[in-house]
Amino acid sequence: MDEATTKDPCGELERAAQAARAGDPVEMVRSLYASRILDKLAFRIHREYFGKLTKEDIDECLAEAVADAFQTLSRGEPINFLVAYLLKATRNMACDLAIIKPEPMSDELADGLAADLPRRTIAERHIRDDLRVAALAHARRLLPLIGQENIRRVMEVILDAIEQGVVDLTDARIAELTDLSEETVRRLKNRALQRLRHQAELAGFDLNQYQVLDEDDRPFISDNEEI
Amino acid sequence: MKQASDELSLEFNRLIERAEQISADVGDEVEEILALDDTHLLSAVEVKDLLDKVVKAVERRIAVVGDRKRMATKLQALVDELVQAREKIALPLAAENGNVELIEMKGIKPRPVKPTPVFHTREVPLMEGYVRTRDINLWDSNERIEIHLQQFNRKHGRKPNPQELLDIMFCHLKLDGVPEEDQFKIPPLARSIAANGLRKPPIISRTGKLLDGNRRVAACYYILTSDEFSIEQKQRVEYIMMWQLTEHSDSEDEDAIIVSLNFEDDHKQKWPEYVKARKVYEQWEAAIATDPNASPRRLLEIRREISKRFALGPDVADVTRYIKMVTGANEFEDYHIATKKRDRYEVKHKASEYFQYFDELAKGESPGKLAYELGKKEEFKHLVFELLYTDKFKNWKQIRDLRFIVDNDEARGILNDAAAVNWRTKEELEDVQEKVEDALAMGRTKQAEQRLLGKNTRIETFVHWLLDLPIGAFQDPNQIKPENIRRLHNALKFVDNIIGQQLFPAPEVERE
Repeated sequence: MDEATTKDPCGELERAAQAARAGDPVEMVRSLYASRILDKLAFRIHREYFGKLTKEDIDECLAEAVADAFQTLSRGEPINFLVAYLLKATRNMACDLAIIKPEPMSDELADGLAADLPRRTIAERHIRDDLRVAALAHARRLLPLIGQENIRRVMEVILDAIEQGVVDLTDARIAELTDLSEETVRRLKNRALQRLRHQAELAGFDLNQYQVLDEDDRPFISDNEEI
Repeated sequence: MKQASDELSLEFNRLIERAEQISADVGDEVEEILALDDTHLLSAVEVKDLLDKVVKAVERRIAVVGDRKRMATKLQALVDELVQAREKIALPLAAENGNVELIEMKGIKPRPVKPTPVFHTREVPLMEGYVRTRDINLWDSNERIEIHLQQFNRKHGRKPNPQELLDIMFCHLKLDGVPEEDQFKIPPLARSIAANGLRKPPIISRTGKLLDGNRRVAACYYILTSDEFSIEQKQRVEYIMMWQLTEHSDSEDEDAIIVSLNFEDDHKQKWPEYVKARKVYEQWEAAIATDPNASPRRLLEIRREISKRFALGPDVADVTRYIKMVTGANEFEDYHIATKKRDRYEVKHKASEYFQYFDELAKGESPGKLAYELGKKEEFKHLVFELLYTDKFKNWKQIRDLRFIVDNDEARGILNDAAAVNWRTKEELEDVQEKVEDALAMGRTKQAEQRLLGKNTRIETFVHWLLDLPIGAFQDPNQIKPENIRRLHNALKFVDNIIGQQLFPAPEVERE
């Protein structure tokens, strides 16, 4: 392959999707590589998770996203736009991995008592799965409070998609499932999320505090060195 | 209103994030990604790492075993082909050979550096002028990364190419045994350069070999390639002022520069963190004064702005930490100056000397943790301040253990005794520091005992309660929710697994 001649990334991406639909992983990988989208996604997501996940972690997520896309397309299921799918799938996995991945052990933690160390065990993962189910159930219970029928239907579709592990849910797809126009979906989607957040807070969920603390609790970066 | 647990709130937040992620319109972002230029291409080594993972993941999804084997061979051949192709392409970095010419920029023509700089007692004539950053290669014999280079050579049988050298310095290239944290601190340096410009010109040979300033040039590359920086900031480092050896220079000149700048201390001293933190805190206070009713989101924005202003990066962790530390230091100073009537400046020197301790004192804002307990128990806080002022702690790690003795009268009694001691000699100080350590050790031991007892008591109580429960309770969803039965079942399966696999492994089957 002559890399210098890779001039048509969109064409290569289309060829990658076609190859996957035809069940040909070799041609799919070749075309993805030729489009240079793997390089660019690896760079992009790694930058997003710099300090939280290693390059290897990001590679794992991207690899799984490619494999998911291959499986989806080879089964004849649709993917609206391959790059968006890969971006979202990689990001979702990176996000989950960043949560379950044990924090690197700092000296001060190592000096502390062993029982205090933050270790994520199998039991904790079980608990996390239960919490995920509980959060979804709570969200569904709040649906009647977020507004009229259309907004509820949009949110319902999104929650169903999360439950089913859907990676990329386009406005067009929501429109199709709810029988609304794409424009209406675009308008209602953000409002639905905002209202769900608001209702959750009224119901006793401490979301704002979590957001701010989450930002604060990132690992400390040492002082800037002088030039 | 019933308060949801922290864990459930956290999970709910993640649910909303996931909802936003999957339903987001990423059209613009995809456009941006597609528009990235080739400076973001992975090196051949990275391509191999990534493609190996892609191939393995894809293979796992191929359902039919025969197909999987056939495809595995083809996919592996493809990986080899693509890696070879990547090795061949020239990265848009500097040419390996040929002289690098200084150019005129911003009205500055290439000119001799006056007075002639002296390196390691030797006058070395140099020219100064601008060079395109991308025309400079990091020096692949730099002692700073010597171990990394040797390791790379052993793994790949060759020297790293310019892009791979950059990746080593950005810590993007994983080498065994190299810690994950940012070893070379390129991002903070890049932020400093983006905020203040490049204050000290890197030095290059006639051929563009970097003799001094590897980190600075790497940081300029970082600015050029990172989304974190604006177009203006990128433009400022596209061409940078450099010093260059003249055509009359010899290898001894090169050696003099390397030794002088890398081995000899320039005796430059950084500002104490106490001073830097106070500057940040002043900005924070001023911002809060103008917006006293700021929402949590606005407070976060303010911290972000301050972080940017002081070149601390997009993350607000440093600013938050400084604010907490200065708040603690202020309380310490108020106590000693106002209550104990101690000299203001002596107190300030102490606060500066022990400034890192305030980081520890500010940690743990939930019940049972140190910051929370200190906030609730004024007397205990003053005891800690007294011990700190009189140098009774051996190290900052001891601060962490204070939480174990908040409610331990005996240990606190020992600390009170230690606080009252007026030591005069080094030996007396060591004695009293030992007392403090004894008190903390007492707290740690008690804590360990309680934790052990706590686990066993909890399990015993739960098992007793569970076995006493009528079976009918499990069949009545009004008494026990089905989701809780599932949770219990999962937990019991987990325990069963531990007992089966770890504690009491199944006996091996005897063979006839």
